[in-house]
Amino acid sequence: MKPNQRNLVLIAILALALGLRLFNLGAGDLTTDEAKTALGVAFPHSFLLPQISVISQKIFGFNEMAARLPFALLGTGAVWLMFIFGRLVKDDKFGLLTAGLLAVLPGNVILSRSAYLDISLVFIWLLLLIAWLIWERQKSLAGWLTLFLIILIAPFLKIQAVYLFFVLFLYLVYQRRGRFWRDERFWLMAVGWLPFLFYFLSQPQQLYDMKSYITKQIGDASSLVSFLSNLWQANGILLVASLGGLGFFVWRAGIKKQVQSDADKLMGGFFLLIGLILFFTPNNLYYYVMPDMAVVYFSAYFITSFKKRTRLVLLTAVCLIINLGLIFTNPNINFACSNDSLGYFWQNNQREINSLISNGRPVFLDTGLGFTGKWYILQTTYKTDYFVNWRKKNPLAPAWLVLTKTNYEENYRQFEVWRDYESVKIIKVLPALK
Amino acid sequence: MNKKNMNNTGKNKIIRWLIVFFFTLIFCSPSLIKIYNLRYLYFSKLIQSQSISLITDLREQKGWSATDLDLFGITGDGSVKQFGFYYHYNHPAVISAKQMIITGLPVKK
Repeated sequence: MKPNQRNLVLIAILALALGLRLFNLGAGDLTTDEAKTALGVAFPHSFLLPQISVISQKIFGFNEMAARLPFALLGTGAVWLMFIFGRLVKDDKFGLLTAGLLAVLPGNVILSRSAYLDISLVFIWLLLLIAWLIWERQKSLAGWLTLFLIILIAPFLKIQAVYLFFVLFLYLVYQRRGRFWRDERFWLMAVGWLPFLFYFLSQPQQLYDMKSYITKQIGDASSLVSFLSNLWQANGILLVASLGGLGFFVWRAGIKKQVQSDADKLMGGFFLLIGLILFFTPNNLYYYVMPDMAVVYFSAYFITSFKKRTRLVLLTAVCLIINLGLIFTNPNINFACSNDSLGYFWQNNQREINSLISNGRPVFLDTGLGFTGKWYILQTTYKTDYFVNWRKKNPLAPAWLVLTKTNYEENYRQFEVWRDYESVKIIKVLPALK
Repeated sequence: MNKKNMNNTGKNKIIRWLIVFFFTLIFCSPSLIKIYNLRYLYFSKLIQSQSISLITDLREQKGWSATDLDLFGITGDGSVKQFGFYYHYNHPAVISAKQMIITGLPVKK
């Protein structure tokens, strides 16, 4: 492929990715987690990233669009990195195919369009993999320093970035036939961990938050039944495709003895990791294991295994059409499809909330901050979306939001009382300074 | 000697690792200083539980948005310790960082 031709195709893919991520971006209120990001609250698992949303809002104004913008750009950046990764492990065409598939992958598009921090994980993982492979091939001082700095900073951005360290460790074990300690990168990873380790030790409140966070994530003991049911419930297509990828890897490595490329080994480790995480965190799996790049990698591998050009083009077109269809029927993207203006956090909980209100009981919602929100909703409103619309028309009528600190225990205490409906849109509320 | 081998000579290896240790030390030093300021925390379970209850109480007192609490130091001789906190309200339009020192209850040894 000629460089000019390649660049044109890449620009077209990036433009498509950016368009899908920016279209109607400000539509819909921020969900609870998004609001935390927009406020710049340090999550127990991410310390630096929420600040990019804050900076964006200082530049573009305090609105939903500005809060989500950096993550849409990070998602587009991940598409570009996917191209570099694909080109690194195979060739230009493979790079373009992987970038194109990631650009239209529904899960990735939806995630990029929200102010969730998770999209950065795909970005960081790809960055780390690229730096890892470039050092392996070129052994330059600049490559070494880049790899080191990424290892150093990655856990601060999103703690789940350390999962990839496990994959890279498996890769070293596989590549060095067990003598992983002879590779400098093993020691680089060990040293690169230290700043994060000491940072965490110096933050007792972070440790405290992390403890309640992990309790929430891991939940009850795993069993095969819960594993399978969660697999089905959480994010079907992505995860099934990932586990299919593991089967594909085992088949190629074990039976056909065909695994030669570095990327194959890395992805094999990645799928093993996904399986382990699925098993040990059955409560909230898709949250952690955004296997977008692995799914894209194996989709591209599968598509390019067809030698006939017509089949290859046909398969790519089918992929594109299905994905675009899924994207544009999603209420979070095409806002006209949505019935109310509250984001999917509310839509998911709507049925449960309605039943609670009809019983005249308070509603508890997880704010994700280590305490649970306790909502008294007036009997006259009955529905939370009606509640908000009603509240907009009657701003002075009494309504209460009581946040209670529970840490997932029964004995909650009153936390704070707000009288403003805009607590629903936390981004618009200025905290009372004491 | 080609370019690839040049980078793997002993001298280059030493320079690479010196750079790594230098940056690691720079990145670690603020945390290490803070660990020294909080040193009592790591040796006494009573001080640990006291600081955790202070953190939760402060979150209640200072409101929903004051989630970024920072226990920056524990000082004091003998059984009574002072706990120093930074806290700030999170909003893109507001920069509000405050500092407060709380004297803890006597700790029996």
